[in-house]
Amino acid sequence: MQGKTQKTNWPDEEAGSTSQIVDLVNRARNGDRTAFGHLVALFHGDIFRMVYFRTRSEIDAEDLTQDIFIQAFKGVKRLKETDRFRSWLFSIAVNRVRDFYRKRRFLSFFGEPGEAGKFGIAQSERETEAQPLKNMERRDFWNHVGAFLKQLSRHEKEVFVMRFMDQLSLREIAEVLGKGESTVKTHLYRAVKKFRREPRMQALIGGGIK
Amino acid sequence: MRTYADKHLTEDRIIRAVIDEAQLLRHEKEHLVQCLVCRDEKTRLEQDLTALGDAASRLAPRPRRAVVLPETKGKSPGWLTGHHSWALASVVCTVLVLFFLGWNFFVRLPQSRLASVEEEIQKDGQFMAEINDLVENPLPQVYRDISGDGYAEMDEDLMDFLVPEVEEHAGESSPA
Repeated sequence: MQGKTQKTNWPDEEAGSTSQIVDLVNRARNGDRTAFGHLVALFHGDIFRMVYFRTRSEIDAEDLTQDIFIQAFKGVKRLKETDRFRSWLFSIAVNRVRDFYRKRRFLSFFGEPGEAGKFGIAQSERETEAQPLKNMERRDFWNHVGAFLKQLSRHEKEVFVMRFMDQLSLREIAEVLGKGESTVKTHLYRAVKKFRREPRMQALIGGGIK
Repeated sequence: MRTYADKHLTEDRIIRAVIDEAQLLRHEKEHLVQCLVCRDEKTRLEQDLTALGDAASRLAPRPRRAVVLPETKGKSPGWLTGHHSWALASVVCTVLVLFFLGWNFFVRLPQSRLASVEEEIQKDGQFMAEINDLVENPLPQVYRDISGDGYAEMDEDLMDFLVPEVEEHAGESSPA
């Protein structure tokens, strides 16, 4: 896909401070590969989870995360506001996930099983490897969350997941989606209201996910 | 009498407080600080949403594959890619356009202008020669040939022969 490749060997790092991130971004913009590697280590987990929340597929999440970081690596030189690296990275991720779903719809239109079809077997194979109880809990949780998210409009779903699952701030969500903060708050308000009135979600939370 | 500060916040205001407390009016903020019931309700909703987020993170798998970055290309083959190639192409185009305009303005036009001036001078000369001819002989050549200005000397002799001078004839006839 990208010709010769090189693996990153950076250890998992705790989220750095804003000034550290800005420093790393500036170095990465000047072609410092190691600095970009540190950024990958800082945000790998966040981006992987973000993609997983939307695809519910571990394999797809891994592939898409890889693509997102490659895209970011290629585009980091063009990033002007270095203090907005996180929201910039998430906007790349959001667009990549959208492309993934478009491609999947296109393939399903022509009767191809696509990436989603392949995923089913691989995912179940992985799950049987260990921790069957945790896998059951995980499946149950995501089924409930999925059912709830289906009740929300596209915008409500987007802002709800970004705010409470991806843990983005209101400002970051507005930057990622290219919308005003007041619009984000309006969608979020409607989504939270539905969340509060959804008995299955209340039962799920009351049933010990805390 | 109950004041604004005594009234409990509605569900709508609690949700707005959870999303962004800055959205509340001043008296609502004051009430939230004082009222245990409203504060509990807000805290409970916040905890539910936090629990959902925590559970989502906990029940999401961890990435197993490391991110692999593409090998960075060396400078020599890579400098002519992307923006650089476009920049170079536009510079070349600009230089060509400037050269074309400069060639026309400074080289080609002066030469053609000089040639046209020379042609103009030549035409003026011819024209002045024609005018001078006309001043001396206003008639065209054809009429001049007919009018006989050309054989004036011959006419003199002929006329002398045909019509002799009156004085000469008078001298010769008087003795007779």
